[in-house]
Amino acid sequence: MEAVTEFAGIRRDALHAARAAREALSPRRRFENLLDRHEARLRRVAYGMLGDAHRVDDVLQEAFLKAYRSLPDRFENDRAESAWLYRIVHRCCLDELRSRKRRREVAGVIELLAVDDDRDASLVVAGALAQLSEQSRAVVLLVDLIGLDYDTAALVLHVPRGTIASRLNSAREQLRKGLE
Amino acid sequence: MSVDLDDLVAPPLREGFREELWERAEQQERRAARRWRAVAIAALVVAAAAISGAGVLARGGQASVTIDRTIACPVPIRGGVPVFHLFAQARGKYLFQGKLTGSAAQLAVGTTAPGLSSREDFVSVTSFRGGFGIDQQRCHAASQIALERSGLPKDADYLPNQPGVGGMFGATCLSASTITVRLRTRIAASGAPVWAKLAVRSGKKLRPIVYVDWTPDKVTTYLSPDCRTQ
Repeated sequence: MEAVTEFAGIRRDALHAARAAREALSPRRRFENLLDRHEARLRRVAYGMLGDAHRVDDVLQEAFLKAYRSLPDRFENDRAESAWLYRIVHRCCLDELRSRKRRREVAGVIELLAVDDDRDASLVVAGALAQLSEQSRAVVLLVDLIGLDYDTAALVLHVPRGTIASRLNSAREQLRKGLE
Repeated sequence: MSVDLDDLVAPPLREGFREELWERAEQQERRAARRWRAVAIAALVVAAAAISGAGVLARGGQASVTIDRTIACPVPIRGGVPVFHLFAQARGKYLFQGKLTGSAAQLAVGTTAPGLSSREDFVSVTSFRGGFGIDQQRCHAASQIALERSGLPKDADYLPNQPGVGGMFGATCLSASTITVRLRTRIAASGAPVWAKLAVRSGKKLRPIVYVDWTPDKVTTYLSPDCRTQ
């Protein structure tokens, strides 16, 4: 028991040391580190939200610029860091979807591709996601795709934890039907 | 074919994505820096002007200075029409609690609250140190107008120990909703105004309403019929 406690203490110290080292870097280096850790997952979330492979880079770049401009000196913990970054990306995705509606664009490219080419599993998933509402899509991407816990997802989407659970239930059901 | 959410694969990263990101970030920083520099320079200029102006007004031993300002001010509606007030008097002495007390000469254009309970001057000159002020909140800089009587009839000369124009209530003038005021005054090395000339014009057509030639020892007013001194 004592050994376990000691190990936990060492691990906690190591995590604190790693965070302190990250915070000591210049804002640019810190932000680079942040992107290195989150970018791959953020790309999947953005793609799932937008359903348009051609817009992912532009939307993410806009989101990263916003994030870099408002990068806090430090985060309370890793969860706060993730929630902050995912929230910015999520808001930028919503902005893009809204401006797309204003431009009266036809349904996302992905829906057409998904119908034509059902051999590509990724396109099929993206097509099924496109059938969900923006809210349902966001919650299923954050929790089921990239594995955020309910509390962090609630922070990202600015809704109570219970809302995440209920949205997730209905979103999973809709997605399952869409993938059948 | 069985697919699930994990099959979602994001499109490959655009070539040069990060470089482009940092280039845009640097551009934004440069733009922000330029904006801040412009703001800082403007603030510096304003501060320098304020310091030099305040120094001239507040500190003795400096050279005298002439200030010439033209401003446009909104005139509040009183009783359904825009009304402003002119206060002008020479220096004097009056009895206060049984003692003869000195009274400064003054020249001011402004407004009064209903019932004359308080005065708010657009511009004022008073014959003591630092006795010069402009309301920069309500008024803004305007194109210069002529500093002359422009055909206005003479109202009166006011000498020391006499009541000024309109007595304690000043002259009440009807105008358009905006008046343009030009004041030219000389501030002595002591910081006190020693003479001033003031012109007020009404509305967009700049119709002459008031002209005043002021020194602490003699005030001469020229008023249009739109001004009442009772």
